[in-house]
Amino acid sequence: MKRSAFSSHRTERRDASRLSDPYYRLDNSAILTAAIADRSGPFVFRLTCTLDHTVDLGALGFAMARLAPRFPCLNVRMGHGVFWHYLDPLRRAPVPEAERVWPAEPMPYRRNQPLFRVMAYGRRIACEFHHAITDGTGAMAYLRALVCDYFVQKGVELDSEELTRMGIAHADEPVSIEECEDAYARYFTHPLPPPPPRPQAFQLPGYRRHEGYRETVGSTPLAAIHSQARSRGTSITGFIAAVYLAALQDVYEAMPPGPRRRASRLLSVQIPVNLRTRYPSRSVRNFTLLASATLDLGLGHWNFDEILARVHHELGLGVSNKELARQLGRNVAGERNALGRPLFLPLKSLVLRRINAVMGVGTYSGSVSNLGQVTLPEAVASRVLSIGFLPARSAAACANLGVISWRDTLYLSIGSLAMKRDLERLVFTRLASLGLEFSVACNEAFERERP
Amino acid sequence: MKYCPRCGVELEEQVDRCVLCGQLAVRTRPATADAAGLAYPKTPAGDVSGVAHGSDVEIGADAFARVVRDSLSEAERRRVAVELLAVSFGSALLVTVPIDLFTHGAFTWSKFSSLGVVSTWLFLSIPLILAGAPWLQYAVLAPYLILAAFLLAVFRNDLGSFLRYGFPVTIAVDALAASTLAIVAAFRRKGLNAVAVFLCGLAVLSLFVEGAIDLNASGALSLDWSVIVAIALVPVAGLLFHLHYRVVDQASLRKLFRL
Repeated sequence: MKRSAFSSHRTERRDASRLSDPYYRLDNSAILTAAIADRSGPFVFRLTCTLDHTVDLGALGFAMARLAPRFPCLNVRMGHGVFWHYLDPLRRAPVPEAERVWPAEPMPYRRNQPLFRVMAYGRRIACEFHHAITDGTGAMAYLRALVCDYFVQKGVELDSEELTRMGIAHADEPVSIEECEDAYARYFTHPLPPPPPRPQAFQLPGYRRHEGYRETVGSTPLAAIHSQARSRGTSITGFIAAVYLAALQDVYEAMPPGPRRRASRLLSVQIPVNLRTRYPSRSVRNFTLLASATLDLGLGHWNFDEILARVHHELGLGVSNKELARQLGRNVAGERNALGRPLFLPLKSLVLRRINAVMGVGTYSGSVSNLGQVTLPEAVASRVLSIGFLPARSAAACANLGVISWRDTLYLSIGSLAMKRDLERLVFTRLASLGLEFSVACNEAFERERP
Repeated sequence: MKYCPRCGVELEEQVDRCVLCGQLAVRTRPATADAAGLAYPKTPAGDVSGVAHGSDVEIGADAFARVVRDSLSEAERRRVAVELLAVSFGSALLVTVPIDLFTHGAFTWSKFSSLGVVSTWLFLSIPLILAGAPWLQYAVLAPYLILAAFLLAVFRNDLGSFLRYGFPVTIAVDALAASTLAIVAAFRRKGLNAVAVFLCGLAVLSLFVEGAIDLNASGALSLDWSVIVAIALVPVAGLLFHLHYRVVDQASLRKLFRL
């Protein structure tokens, strides 16, 4: 039988129950994020849930305590080994924290401090996660379980069978081994030819802010944007990626001639692909790879239909099994490199930072991350007003888009570290010009911008 | 009903301050109680970071202990290693003994090399074969150490040196190994603290070895080099104890040195 990088995983497992001091190895994606996370790119993303009533702190704290044993691979702290970081399980359950002045603030590695936080503010429950422990899908699994357990504490009757049927974890069920697995390692069998190197991409010009994180959220009827995307022969993710690229093209073309000549003409948007839908895994840790959509402005101006067609086809190619397999092969083979493994951790972190600068963040202009439709049992859903998703800050990519759908509304968030709001304005005016009615809000009042 | 004016959350009746930010609780419903969407507090939570600390819910260790790891199990890895060692050291024996027999027509130097090869093989293989049973390993290796010293003396036709030096030193090594094992076994987390205990054991052993040599050679105790060794090792052990208990949070060697 022909071998594939995604062939069935080996079934031999090492029983770690004998260990006096158990821990988790970081998964392939976490190795990079743990090493390069800093104030300008902390890899902390945020999910929120707005309720129809003021948050009851006691019920929330109790729900978190009940769920802590249910999500053992989330309730961990970052440990520093001689050669690698590792995740150290915490014996105490996390507790709710006060909301911060700005969203998705950095999460320094502290002793006895988990790599996620749950914050309550008014009617809103917010969960912020470090990418070293989970991706959007894993984080959403926790938020859904938390909200359901919170309502159970508030007296809402929920059938555990219904929760299981909907894929919502609950405190009374046992932890599955698969939920804590490193799915990258599971599906990697041997190295493949690596993807071709990517050139440096256009980065949003202008100064970055050193404090705070601007969050601009637009909401629109899901059916409207869905039919708009369908009528143009693409998905919602492809449609929004095309809008983002069109906005980046507008920014590029509006630049003064000097800086424009010096800027890269390649626009590139990265789109995380949830691998669980392709390679069965129940892991709540990272299991995502990246597809990308690009525009070469050296070829001239692209109209929106041309951008849409390009994004659609490029995404189709990018998420093919073979493309993903070789991306996985490159990443995991790099982690297992015999020369890299014995490097001391500080040195390894330096190397990873350099690799990220050359092959990672520098090759993308931004990202569009779509977590899809969120579902909850009707007894809970009727009391949840909205769900939000804010991608992590990044000084290089500057502005990242997060998409999430709750009931019949789609929420499009733009998290930006740029001083100016040009990109947000261009994205939402483009959407409006396409006939989509977006209701837009921002976490900071508009002040006259300096030219 | 009590509320926090800053966080806008509902608080339990018995608390006077918000457990999140430390603000005084109020009975009138504040505007922040309806905060939603993109509203954020205007001020940081204040210097009350000690308020929100961990709850008393303990999490079982077995929940995360069954994580999928590598393709080969530990037992399989050990078996492969034992086989490799047996083949390598067996090859050494198969080469050296016939050469000695062929060139000298008797066992001459190959007695020593064979003893070295067998001893090294045993000291490398027994921990793998009897993994997880340190006292069994000790029960095999400790008597063997004395036997090896005895055989060495027999091969050299010098039983006197065994009785004067070999026997007391091997007994001391066995006794210190037993004490070190017992101390390390008592540690809840075995990390740099185990290395520190080993260094202390080494310091004591060097004192004993020099003592044995002095008493047998000159009949009087005059410690010199072993004191320097002990002075060098004990502070390092202290540093390792400090690192283990204060700096790296009692992490095990398995975690710290995983490659």
